[in-house]
Amino acid sequence: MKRLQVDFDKCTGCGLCQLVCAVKHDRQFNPVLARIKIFRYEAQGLNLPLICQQCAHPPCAAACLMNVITKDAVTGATVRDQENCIGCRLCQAACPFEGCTYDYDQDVVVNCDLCGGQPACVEICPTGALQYLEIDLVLERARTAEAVKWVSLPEPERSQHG
Amino acid sequence: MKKTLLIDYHRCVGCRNCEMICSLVHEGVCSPSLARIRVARDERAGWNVPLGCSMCEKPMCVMVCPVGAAQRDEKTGMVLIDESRCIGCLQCIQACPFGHANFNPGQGVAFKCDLCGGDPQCVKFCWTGAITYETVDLELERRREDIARRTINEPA
Amino acid sequence: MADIIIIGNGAAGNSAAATIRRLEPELSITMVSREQLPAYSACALPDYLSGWVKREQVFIKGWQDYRDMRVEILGGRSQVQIDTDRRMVRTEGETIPYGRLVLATGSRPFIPPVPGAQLRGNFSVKKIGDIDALIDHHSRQAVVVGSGNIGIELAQALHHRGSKVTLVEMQEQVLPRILDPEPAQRICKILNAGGIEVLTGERVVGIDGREQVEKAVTDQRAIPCDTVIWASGMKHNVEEAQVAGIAIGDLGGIKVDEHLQTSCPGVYACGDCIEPLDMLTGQATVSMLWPNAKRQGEVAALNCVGRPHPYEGVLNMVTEEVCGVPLASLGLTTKALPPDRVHYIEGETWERYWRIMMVQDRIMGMQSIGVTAGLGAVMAMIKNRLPLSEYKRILSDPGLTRQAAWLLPASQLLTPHHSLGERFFT
Repeated sequence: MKRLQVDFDKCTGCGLCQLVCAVKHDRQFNPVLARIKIFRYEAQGLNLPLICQQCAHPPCAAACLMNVITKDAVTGATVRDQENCIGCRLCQAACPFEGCTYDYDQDVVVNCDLCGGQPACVEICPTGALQYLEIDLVLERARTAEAVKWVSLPEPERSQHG
Repeated sequence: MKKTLLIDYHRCVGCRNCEMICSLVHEGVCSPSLARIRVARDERAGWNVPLGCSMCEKPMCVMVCPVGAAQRDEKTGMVLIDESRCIGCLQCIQACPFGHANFNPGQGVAFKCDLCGGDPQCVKFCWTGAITYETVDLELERRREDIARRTINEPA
Repeated sequence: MADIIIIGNGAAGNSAAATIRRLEPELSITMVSREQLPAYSACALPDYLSGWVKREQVFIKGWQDYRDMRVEILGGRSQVQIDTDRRMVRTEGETIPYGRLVLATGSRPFIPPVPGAQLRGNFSVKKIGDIDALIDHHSRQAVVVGSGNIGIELAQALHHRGSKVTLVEMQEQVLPRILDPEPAQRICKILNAGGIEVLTGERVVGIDGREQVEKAVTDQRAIPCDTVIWASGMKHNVEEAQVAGIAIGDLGGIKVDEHLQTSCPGVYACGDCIEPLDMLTGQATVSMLWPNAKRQGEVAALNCVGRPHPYEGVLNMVTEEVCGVPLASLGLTTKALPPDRVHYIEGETWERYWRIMMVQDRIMGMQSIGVTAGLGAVMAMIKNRLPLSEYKRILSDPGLTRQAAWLLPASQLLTPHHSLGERFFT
C-alpha cells in the first residue's frame, strides 16, 4: 500500500501541486478546486500542504448521509460516488485533515483519488516535499533513523548486569 | 514505580525471536510486520536495535491522534491505541519519533506495544537479555553504580 | 431461526447488518422493515423535494445489495411483537426465533394535538412517501411548523419549488437545538433575505379549513396557506420494545447501557429509538442524527457478535446550507453547558461568523456560519479532549506543529477576530 507523504520542511508553498491537481481533475487552473490545500502561515514561515490521508476507516465515510464514500479494496484509496453526493459537506466537518474539497462547479465534495496511482502533484513538486511511498518503507525509514541515533551514541562502559 | 522495556542493543544478536513471539501473542501468526517490537538492522555496519514503545510521558501519538484512539492511562502510564476507534490515518506512525507505532494493513488499524498487560513476552523469549522489563529506578540505580565503579577504579 | 434479527431498515439497522456481515460471514441475518422499500437516506428527502436529486438517488441500497450481503429482508411488516422470554419475533405472517436481537426502530414525527391537524394538506416528513405526497400536493403557500434542521431544509426546498413559505417556531430563535440565540439571529436574517418569512416565539394553536387546510392559526395571527408541514419534533419508536417489557428511559427512548444493550439480555438497540449518553457531558440525551445512528449500529453489532466494545457516546455534528451559506454546529450548545463556567471565542469577518464554547480549557462546541476550513480540526480537538493550553504549546513549537500540521487550520478560528470591513450580516 502506498501513501502520499508530505515533508513539511521541504514545502515552499509554491502551489504548483494545487494548479496541476485542479487542471487534471476539473480542467481549470483554480487552486480552490484543488484536492490538496496549502495552509500558509507566514508569521511562522510554515507552508503546510494538507490532503486526504486515505484513512482505513475514514471518518468522512462514517459521517456521509448518502453512504457514497467507500474504500477501494484494491488500491486502499477513499473513493466517492460523485453522482449521488448531495453536497451536504458533513464529510468536511468530519475530516480532521482538510481532505475534503467542495467543488463549486458540480456542487459535490471531492477528495484526493491519488490520480489512480500516479499522483500528478508528486510528479510536479519541485522540491520533493510530496512523495508517494510504500507505507512499509516509511516505517522502515523511521526505525532506521532512530536506530542510527542509538548506535552513534558514545558507547558507555558498563558493568554487566542480569 | 513505572516499569518499562529497557533495551541493551549491544546484546541483541538480531534473532528476531521477539518479533515472532509478539506477533504470535497478539495476532496469532508469526509475522514480523505485525509485531509490536521491531528490530532495525544494518547488516553491513553490523548492528541490531530492537525498538519498542517508550511509553512516553507526553506521547506524540496521543497528541496527533484526531479521534482520541491513542490514549495515555494516567494511572498505569500505559500508552494504548484503541483499535476499534482507530481510523487508520497513520498520523501516529508519522509522529512517533522512535518509529514505533505500526500499521496493520489487513485490519486498517494502527497498533502498538501494550507490554502484554504487564508480562511482556518478548522479554521472556529474549535469550540474550537484550530486552528487559524493569523499573526505571532500578536502571538509574545501576547506572549510578556504573559511574561510581569507574570513578573508584580510575587512578586519581 | 435467525442468528440475528434486526428490526429496522434505516441508518442504524443497515450499519449493524454490514458490521455483522463483515465480522461473522456465517451468521444468518434477518431484517424486519416497516416499509416495502430498500434503504434510503432520510437526510436527502428535502433535496428530493427541491428537485436537486432524483427520486432514485435517495436510495442508498437496492434489493440486490441485500442479496449480496445475504441479509433476508422482510418488508412491509408493521405489526412486530417481541417475545424476549422465548426469544421470538412475531410479525404478520411469520414467527421467527432469534439468537440476538437488534432494535433499530427509529423515530417518527411528532404532531401536536391541535384542532385541524388531520385535514388534507397537513404533512410531516420522515418517509419517502411523505415527499411523494407533498410533491403531488402542489403547494403554493406553505407554513412550516418548527425550525429544526428538517424544518429549515423543507422551508428552503418548498421555496425553491415556488411556494411562499412561512416558518413558525415556538421558541424565541430558529434551530434551537443546534444554535445559540446569537448565531440563530444571523441565520434568521439569511432566511429572510432568501425570501422565507420567519416567525419566532409563536405557537400554532390550530389549523382552519373545511375540507383542506386554509389557514394556520397561531397565538398571534392567522396565516393563509394550503399546506402545513409539521417539523416540530421527533418521537422515539419504542412501542414494540415497551410491550415486550424493555425499559424505557426518562427521555422517552429505549434505555441502553454503555454496550448498547437494553434491559433485556441479548437485545441491543441503536439509532433514533434509543437515548444514548453524550460524549462530552456523560448524560443521557436525544440525538437523532445520521452519523450517530451509523456509529451506534456498528457498536451494537460488535457487542452483539460477542466483541464487547463500549460506545463512546454521541457527539453532535450538523451541517446545513442556508440559502447558499454553509452552517455548521459541532458538539454542545450553550444551553447544555454550565452557565457560570462557559466562555466564548468569537470571530467575525465580512463573510464568516463563528463561536467556540469553552469550559475551563476545553472546547465543548462550535457554531459557525460561512466557515469551511478548520471545522474538522476543531471537531478532532473536541473528540480528543485537547486542552487549549496544549494546543498553544503545539503551535509555539515548530517541530510539534509539523507533526500535527492538520491542527493548524483551527488556529484562525481559535483566535478571536473581528474585521473592520463591511459586515455581511447586518
